[in-house]
Amino acid sequence: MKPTRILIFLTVAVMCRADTIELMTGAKVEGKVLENNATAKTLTVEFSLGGALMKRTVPYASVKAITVNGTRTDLQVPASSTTRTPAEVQAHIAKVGPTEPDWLKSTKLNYPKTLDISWPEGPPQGGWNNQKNVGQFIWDIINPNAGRWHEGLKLMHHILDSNPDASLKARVTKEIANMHFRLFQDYARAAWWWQQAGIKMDDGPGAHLAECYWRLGSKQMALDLLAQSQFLQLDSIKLLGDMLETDRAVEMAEGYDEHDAWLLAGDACRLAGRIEEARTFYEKVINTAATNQKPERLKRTQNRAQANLAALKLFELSDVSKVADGTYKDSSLGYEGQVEVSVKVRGKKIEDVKVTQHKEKQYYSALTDVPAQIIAKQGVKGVDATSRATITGEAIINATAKALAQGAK
Amino acid sequence: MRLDHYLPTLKRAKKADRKPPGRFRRVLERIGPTMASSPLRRVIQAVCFITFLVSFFYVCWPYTARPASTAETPATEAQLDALLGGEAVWPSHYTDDLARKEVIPADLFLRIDPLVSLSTAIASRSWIYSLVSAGIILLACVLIPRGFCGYLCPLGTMIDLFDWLIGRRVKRFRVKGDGWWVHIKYYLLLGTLIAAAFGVLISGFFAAIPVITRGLLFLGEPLQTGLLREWHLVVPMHAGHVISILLFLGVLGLGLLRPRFWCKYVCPSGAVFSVANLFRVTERKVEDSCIKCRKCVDICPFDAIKPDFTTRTTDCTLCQTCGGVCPTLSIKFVDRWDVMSLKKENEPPTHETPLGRRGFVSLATGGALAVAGGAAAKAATSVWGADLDNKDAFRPVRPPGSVPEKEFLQMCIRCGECFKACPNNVLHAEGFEQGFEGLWAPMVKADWAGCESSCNACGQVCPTGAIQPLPLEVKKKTRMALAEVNLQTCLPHAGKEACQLCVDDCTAAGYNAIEFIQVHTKADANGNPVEGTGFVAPVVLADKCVGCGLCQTRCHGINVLEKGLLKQSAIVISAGPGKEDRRIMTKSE
Repeated sequence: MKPTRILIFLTVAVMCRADTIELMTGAKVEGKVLENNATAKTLTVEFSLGGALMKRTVPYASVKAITVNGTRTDLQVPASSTTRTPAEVQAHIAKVGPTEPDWLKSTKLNYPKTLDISWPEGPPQGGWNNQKNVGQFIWDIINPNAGRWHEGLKLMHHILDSNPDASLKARVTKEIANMHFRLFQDYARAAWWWQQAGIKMDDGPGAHLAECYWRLGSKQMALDLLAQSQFLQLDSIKLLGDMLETDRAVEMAEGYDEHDAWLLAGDACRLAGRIEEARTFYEKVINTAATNQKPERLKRTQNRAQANLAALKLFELSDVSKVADGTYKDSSLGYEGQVEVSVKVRGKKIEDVKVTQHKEKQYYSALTDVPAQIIAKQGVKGVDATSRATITGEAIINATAKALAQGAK
Repeated sequence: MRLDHYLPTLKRAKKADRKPPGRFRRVLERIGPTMASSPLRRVIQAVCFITFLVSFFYVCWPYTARPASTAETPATEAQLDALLGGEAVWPSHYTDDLARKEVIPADLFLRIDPLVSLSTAIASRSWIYSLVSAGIILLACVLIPRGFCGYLCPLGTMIDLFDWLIGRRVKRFRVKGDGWWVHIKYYLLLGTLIAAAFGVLISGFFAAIPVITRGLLFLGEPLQTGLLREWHLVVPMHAGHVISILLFLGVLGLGLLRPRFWCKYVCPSGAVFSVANLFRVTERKVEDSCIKCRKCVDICPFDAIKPDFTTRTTDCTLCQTCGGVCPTLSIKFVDRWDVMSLKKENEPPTHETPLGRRGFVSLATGGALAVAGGAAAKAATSVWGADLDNKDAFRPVRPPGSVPEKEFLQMCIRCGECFKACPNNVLHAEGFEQGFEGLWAPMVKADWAGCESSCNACGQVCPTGAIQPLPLEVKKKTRMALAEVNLQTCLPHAGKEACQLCVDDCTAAGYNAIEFIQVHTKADANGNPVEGTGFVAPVVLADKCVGCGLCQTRCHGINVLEKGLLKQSAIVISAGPGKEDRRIMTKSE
C-alpha cells in the first residue's frame, strides 16, 4: 500500500471509531458526535441501528460525559473555560432567563388539595403542616426528592399565574430563582429571576447571584457584586473559595472569626490543595469550646469539620507514596455489615489488598475484582465499584483508603 | 418384534471352543454383572442421572450470572429514544443467565414424574401444563413398561449407587421373602390421590423426584454454597428441614432391607407406572429352552421374576439384565402377544394365586388404610393448617407470580427447585408456620435477602405452575407484598438519627418506591425552617412498591445486626389482600 493510502485508511479508521456517550442513568451508548454545541448545551449524535443511521440531538442535562477520540469530557462539570464579558453575561441572562425550561410544559401539576396556595406572609398558624403551608410542603416533600423538583417549580409557576398580590409575587419570584439555582444549577434563569426580584448584594441570596455571574463566565462581575457588600457573609467566603480566591476567602474568614467561617476557609484551602492549612482550620473548628450561644449549630459545624477532615485524610493522604511499609487493616460499612480489608504496603507500593472479613450476600466478583483494580492502579482513585455490587465495592475502596491513611507519614 | 438390547452370554458348547472374551466385554465384566449383561441400560441411567445433577447443581445455580456492562446497544428506534430519554435500563442478568444455561428445562425430571402433575391437577382442579410431559412419558412406558424406574429416574439411580456402595456390604438388615410390604406403593398412591381429591397435596412427601430434589436441596445445596461461596450464606435449618432430610435418608436406608426396596414396594410414582403397565404392549417372555438355573431371579433388582421364571408384568422395568445372564438365551423382550415356543407356566409351581384369602385381607386393610390416610391428611390440614379464612392467621410472602394462596397450597409440590434457583436464598422453606399445610413451601424471608430485580428464575423452574413463569417485564411490576415503615422505630422518623438505607436501596434497584419526607425540622421565630435541623425520612409509595424486600434486608442487616440500633427492621414487607398480585394466568396471556 502506498503511504498516502495508509494515511487515508488511518484517517477513515479514526473517523469511524465510535464515540461513547455516558448518560446520566449510567447507561453508555456508542455513536458519532457530529456537533457539540456548548451555547445551546446540546450534542448532535449519529447512532447506527442495524446499519441505519439515526441522528438525535441530546441535551447536556441527560449526558454525564462523552468520549471522543479517546478523550473523555465530563459535561456535568461546568466548563470553566467559558469566559464572557459582563455585557455578554447580561445578554445571556436576558435571553435565556425569561424562557421556561423545556420540560416544564409536560410536567404535571401535583400538590395536595389541602395546600393553601395563597401562601400567606409571616409564620404559619397552627404549627408545622406540610400538607397546608406551601413553604413547609416545599421543605418537607419537594426538596428531599429529586423526582419531585419539576413538580415544585410547576407549583411555583402555578401560583405566579394565579394573579398574586405584590408581596406573594415577590416571594414566589425569589423561590423560583432559588429553585433554579439550588435544584437545577440553571444559573442564567436563577440570575434572571433574582434580578426580577431586585436582589442586591446584602439581601439574602446576594452571594448566590454573584455565583451565578461567575458560573456564567464572568468572575469579574461576581467580584464586583461581592465588593458591594457592607458586611461579611458566609456565602461570600464559600464563593471566594470556590473561585480559587483562596487568600481573600481566608482573610474574610479570619475577619468573621467564627467556627462556620473557619470551616469554609478549610474547604477553600482544601480545594486549592493547601492541605496543611485546611487541616489546621478543621482542627480549629473541632477544638472550639462550646458556649451558651447556639450550641447545636456549633455541634453541626464540628461534625462537618470532622467529616471533611476524615475525607481529607482519605483522599489526600491515602497516596501510597506517602505510606510507610506495613500491613494496615480497616473496615467500612458494606451491604450487610462491616467489610474489613487488609492492605500490605512495601517500598511505596501496594503489594496486596485482601478482604479479610465480610457478611455480604450479593457480591459477584467485587471481592476479588476491586482489590485487583486497587493493586493495578496503586491507589483508590479511579477504581470502579463493580456494577450492581456497588455498595460492596465502595466499602472495599473506602476501607482501603482508611487503611492507607493509617500509615500516612 | 424384538426389543432386545442386552449383551447375550457367549455360547460355549465345548470347552475346547472357548475363546477368551474381547476387550469390550472384559471391561464391562470388570465393572459388574449388571453392566456386562445390559450395558445400554446402565449408560442411559448414567446419562439421565448426570443430566439431572447438572440441571440441579449447575443450571439452577444462579451465581454464574454477571451483571451486563453498562454499555447498551439499542436495537430499535424506540429503545434508543427511551435510553436517551433517561429511562433506566432494567438489568436482566439472572434471567439471561438461567435462559442461557437452560438447554433442556431445569425441571424436566419433575415434569415427567406423573404423580407430581396428576396429584397437583386433582388437588387444584386445574390444568397443569406438566400433565403433557407426564402423559408423554406414560405413553412411552406403555412401550417400555416401568421404563421410567429402570432407566430415567434419578432417585432410582441414586438408590442403585447406594446399594452398590453400602447396601451390598451391610447384610444384617436384609429381609427374606415377600411380606406385608409388597403392595405399599398402591395404597400410598391411593392415599395421596384421595388426599388430593380433598384438596390437600401430600404427594410431595412421597413422589420420587420431589424426594430427591428436596434431599439434594437440604443436603447438597448448603455444601455447594459453603464450598463455592461462603459458609455464612448457608441458610439455617429448622425442624422442617430435618424432617425432609430424615425422609430422604429413610428412602435410601430402605435399600438396606433389599436392593431398590423403595422403588419396588413403596414409591407411589412407580405405582402409577405399575398401573399403566396394564396397558403395556411389550413384555419379557421366557422360552421353553429355560433350564431353571435361577440366574435371572437372583440378578433381577425389581423382584419381577416369579418362581416359575415368568414375569411379574407390573414390576418389570424391562432393564434386560436377566437377558444378559441367561445361559441358554431363553429370555426375550417382545410384544405382548408373542406366543412363540414359550415355557410352560407354573412350573415349578409358584404357589401364587390371583387373590387368596390373605391377599383379600391385605387388600382390604391396605385400601382402608389408604382411604383413612387421605381423609386424615384432610383432617390434619383443617385442624392444623393455613386457616385461610382467619384474617389474623400467618400469611407468608410468596414468590413473585404465585397463584392465590389457596391454590398455591394445592399446587406447590414442595420440590424445592425454586429455592435452588433463587439468588441469595430469598426463598426459604416454610416450617410449621401454617401448620402441616405449608410445610416446605417457599416463602420470602426478607430479613435474609430481598428479591433480585433482574431475576425471574423461581417461576421458570416451577414444575406445577404454583409460581407462574412470568417474563421479567411482567415480574418487575408484579407485587408480592407491600413495604411499610414503622414510624415509631424508623431512626429518622423517631428523631434518633439520619438513615436512608432503604431509600438508597430501592432507588438503586430501580423501583423508586420509597421517597423522602423531611421530619423534625425546627422552625425559627418567623416560622422559617432552620437549615440543618431534622432528618429526611422514608415514605413508601404504595403504587410503586412491589414488595421485593430489599429495603427490609438492608435495615435488618445494618440497623439490627450490625449496629444493634433496632430489635427488628423498621421497614417490613407483608402479604395480604390488596398488597399482592396473585392470580392464575389465562391462556391468552
